[in-house]
Amino acid sequence: MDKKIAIIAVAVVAIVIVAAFAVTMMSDNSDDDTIYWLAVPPVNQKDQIAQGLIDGGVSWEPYCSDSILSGDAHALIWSGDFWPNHPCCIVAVNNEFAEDHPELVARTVAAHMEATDWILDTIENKDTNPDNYTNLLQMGAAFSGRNTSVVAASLEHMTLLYEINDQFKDYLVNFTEDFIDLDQTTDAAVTARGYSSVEDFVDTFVNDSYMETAATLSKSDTIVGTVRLGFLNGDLHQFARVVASNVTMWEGTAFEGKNLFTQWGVDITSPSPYANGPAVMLAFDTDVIDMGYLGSPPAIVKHLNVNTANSDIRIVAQANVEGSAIIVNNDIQSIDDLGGKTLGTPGPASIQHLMLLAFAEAHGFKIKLSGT
Amino acid sequence: MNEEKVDRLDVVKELLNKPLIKNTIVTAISLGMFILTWWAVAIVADMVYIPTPWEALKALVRSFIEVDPNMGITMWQNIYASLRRFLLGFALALALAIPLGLAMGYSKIFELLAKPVVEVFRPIPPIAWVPLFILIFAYFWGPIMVIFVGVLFPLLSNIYFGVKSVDPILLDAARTQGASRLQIFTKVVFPYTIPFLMTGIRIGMGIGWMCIVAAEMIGVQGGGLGYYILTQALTLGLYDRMFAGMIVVAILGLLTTGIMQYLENVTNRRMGIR
Repeated sequence: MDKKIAIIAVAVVAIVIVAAFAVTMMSDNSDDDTIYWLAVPPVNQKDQIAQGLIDGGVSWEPYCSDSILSGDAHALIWSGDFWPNHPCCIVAVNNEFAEDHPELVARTVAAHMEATDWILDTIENKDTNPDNYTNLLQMGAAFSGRNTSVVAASLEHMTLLYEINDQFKDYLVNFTEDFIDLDQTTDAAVTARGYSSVEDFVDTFVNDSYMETAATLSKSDTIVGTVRLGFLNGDLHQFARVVASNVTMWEGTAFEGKNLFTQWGVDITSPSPYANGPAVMLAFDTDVIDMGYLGSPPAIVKHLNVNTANSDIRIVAQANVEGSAIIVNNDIQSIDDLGGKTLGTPGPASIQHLMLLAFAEAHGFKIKLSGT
Repeated sequence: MNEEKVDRLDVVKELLNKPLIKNTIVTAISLGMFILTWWAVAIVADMVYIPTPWEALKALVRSFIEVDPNMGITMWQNIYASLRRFLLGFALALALAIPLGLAMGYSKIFELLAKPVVEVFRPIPPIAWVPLFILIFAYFWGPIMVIFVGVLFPLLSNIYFGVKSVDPILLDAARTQGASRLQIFTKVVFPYTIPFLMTGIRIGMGIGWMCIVAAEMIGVQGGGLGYYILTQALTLGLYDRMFAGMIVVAILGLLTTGIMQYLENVTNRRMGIR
């Protein structure tokens, strides 16, 4: 029996040795010419920067401004300074649904357009009509769970719009080619979807005819139909949806009791908000939603890779351009300081991740997954 | 000539009656049927989420020989990352469960002190700890601690149960022979619990794999099989690669639990249990 106890003792010692070995293996081998990335949801980046778990992050609004106003971080570069007017969030629709219900889609887009115009007008006239501006900030704060100061700062760093132009399409072509280079999708996937080229894909994928129709429609006293609409949790790039869903702003007007969607004859039902664009695409693919707000990169990647009727979507409007940033802790003061540092990103197939890759390459950094 | 044929048939029959060969053939048939069924389902369902076994195999081979451009590592490094977490979490759980389980089972006062706390924490699913552990222990130790929690309780329960199951006649016999309390513990109680410990380790292995994959899906540094599966499936929609990751997890799970099953059987035989 003593022999067995000795064996157990040896086993325990062996375990301790293995553990010690593993601990030595986790020693940091960071290189100064490399930026390390880690998948960290934007909502968690502020806390993780403050705790020192990551040195910074690439995030969207309101999380960029939230980190900055907390005092624990600052913006090293805003996405608009790196990629001027780059597309970000868009409004997408399942193609089959759009073909079956073109007017309903156009009416939803009309509500999106009016909400966007209202926000832009409110920001422009915030000094002459402060009530509307306060209301806007409060709507954003309630939706994002951040205070009104964060919402106000967020609005300064992104441009809300809905128009689709050639620059938008050019960006999408570039993004798609980047994703092919990164093996996140393939030329074969483009072909399998029935497109002859990346340009052909983008031309088909972007459909601004619903906006043209929307411009010819007028509001409706009756509900034309129901749209199941997906959106991201707390993402202020999708502020137009928040405003279009608000009822209280119409109190005392002819539209009392109705939000912008219902004014345009659309009954919106929404499942729980989604954490990120890929999750919205999964909702499309599982036939949980008909339309959705999401980032253009996940829309591209998953439309191409997941070759199903449900994932056959079209971009019918933009929601915003710019509005992301590389946020870093206060020890990092310049781009050169990024060497050997770890930045959180929402993960591959996000505009923030793609921007970090391009930014690192532009400044001569290699980029690696943290811990590798 | 006929006699020769009969002899050969007898040899074949004899071989087929050998348990190892018989079991191997039945296992191969079972796996073959599974693969054929999978193939049929993939073709009939014709869904992008279910690749054929051949597509999954191609993705699997590619994952080992090509660097995944999104993660910058191969499947080997993902396996290494997951295994390292797995072993560390397991080692920590063993290091705590063995003394704690023995003490709880052997000492009434210690049992009264520790059991309520254990019972409070035991029902909490290991995965529920992930967000907290990531914040407290960061990205390296966070997932390891999830495995630690997941493996700890089956180990602890088995060791505790093992001590409680010691035959009172053995204890009485030791006492009548004049054995001290320490001698009873080291010569009777502890050896008696070893088969229970081995069972706990085997069960913990299975739970450990579930924990590591789930924990890596939430937060991880340095790659890992769970993160690989999540990224390929949910982020990129590359389901053949997702299946490749799942196959690797299945193989590793089978290997580790199979080794433990073997060790458990050997231990039980040596302890005279069977």
